[in-house]
Amino acid sequence: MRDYNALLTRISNAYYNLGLERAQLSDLSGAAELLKRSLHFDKYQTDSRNLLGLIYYEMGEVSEALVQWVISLNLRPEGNRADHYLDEVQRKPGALARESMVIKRFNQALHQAQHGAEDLAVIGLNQIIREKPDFVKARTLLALLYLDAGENTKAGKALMKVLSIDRNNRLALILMDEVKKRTGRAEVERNRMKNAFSHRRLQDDDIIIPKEKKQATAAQTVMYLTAGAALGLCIFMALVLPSQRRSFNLAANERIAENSRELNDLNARYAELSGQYESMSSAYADASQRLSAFEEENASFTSMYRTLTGITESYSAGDIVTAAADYVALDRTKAAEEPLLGMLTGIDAYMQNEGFDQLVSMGTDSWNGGRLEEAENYYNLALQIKGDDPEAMFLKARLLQSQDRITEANAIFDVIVGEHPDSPYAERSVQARGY
Amino acid sequence: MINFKDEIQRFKPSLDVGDIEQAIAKSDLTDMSDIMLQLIRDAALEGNGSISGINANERL
Repeated sequence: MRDYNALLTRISNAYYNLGLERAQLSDLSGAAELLKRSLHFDKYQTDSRNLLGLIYYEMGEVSEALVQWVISLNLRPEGNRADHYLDEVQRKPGALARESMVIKRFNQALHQAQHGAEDLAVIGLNQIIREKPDFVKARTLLALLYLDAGENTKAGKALMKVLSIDRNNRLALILMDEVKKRTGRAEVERNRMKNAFSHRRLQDDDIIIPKEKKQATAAQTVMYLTAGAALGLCIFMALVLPSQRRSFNLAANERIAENSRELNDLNARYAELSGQYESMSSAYADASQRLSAFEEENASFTSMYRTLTGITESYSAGDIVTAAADYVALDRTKAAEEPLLGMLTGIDAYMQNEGFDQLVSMGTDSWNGGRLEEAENYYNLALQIKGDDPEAMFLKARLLQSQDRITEANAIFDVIVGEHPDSPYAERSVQARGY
Repeated sequence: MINFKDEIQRFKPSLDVGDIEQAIAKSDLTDMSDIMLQLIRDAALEGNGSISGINANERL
């Protein structure tokens, strides 16, 4: 019997080793099967049982793991690693309660899936795998439900996670094949595999000659460097510089636009001010002219007034000659308005009558006194006041005649005869001139 | 062609934490040794009604 025991132990150990190998390759399902066989041959194979518990724990089956570890500890209480595993699981407070809750929800989701409420089952399973990402059974069930609903991508994602935990999970592999068929990934992978292994096999006497690397000469190196620098410069000028120029130009253009706006404003203001200046200049000139005119008028009036007043004063003072001289020199247009006109009218009345008579009389007195030149001046002054007086003309002519200035005298006699034929001095002029 | 409904039905509920004790109690820990011992006992009982040279607790 001892020999059989030893044999069974060896067989059990062999299965354990195989199981361990599979577990190290992430083939948890395969490892679990081998470890169970190991325990069939020797239930005391503690390592197998502990490893089986770890596999269950890795796949999210915490309760199954605890069962194995408890049994292992009962079968071998001393020096058993299962004690440590149990402590680890129960160490965190509330960990087992949370695990219990997750499992209950999974069982509920499974019940819903098996009884027509697939939608609710999917929602529940999604919540479960969010809390417990390594729960292989939940993910596999979820993938199955997605595939049934035609959501191949979601099923594929769930299965990829399952296979990352348990590489040879039978159901997951079958479902993944289905996903690949539906999405066309199977064909893609087949082609990839074909291309990866399409080259011919090397024979024993095949020699692989490595490709010779050509070394560049010094001249070639310099040329490559120069070309590289030139290329970099070209790229800079083509790509970087335009954008920089654009930004500079943009800034410059904005400044120019701003300056233009300011200039326009200033020009407008200048134009406005120029207009105002011209208007004011015009008004000033106009005002100046009016002022000048006023001043001129004022001066002219003053002057005329003075002259007229002087004339009046002169003949009032008996100085008829000064009065007459000023009178004949008057610019009568400057006394066209009152009060000067009134003054002039008065002066006209006096000078045309009494003043004229006085001058003629004075001329005759001076002729009689032998003062011929003085007499002629008086007669001229009188004739300037009243140039068409026949008496004054005759007296002047007789005076000139007396001075043998016959031609001048006759000219006057001719005027008297011609222009004043009805005057008594006309006949006398004829007699005086002798024809 | 996968029959999704059948596959879903094949799923078994997971063991709850509260059911661990029950599961342990129900565990069948019979291994090959136990089977062989049982066979040997049965054979011996059928033979002469006694067991000799065999100690049931020898493995422990």
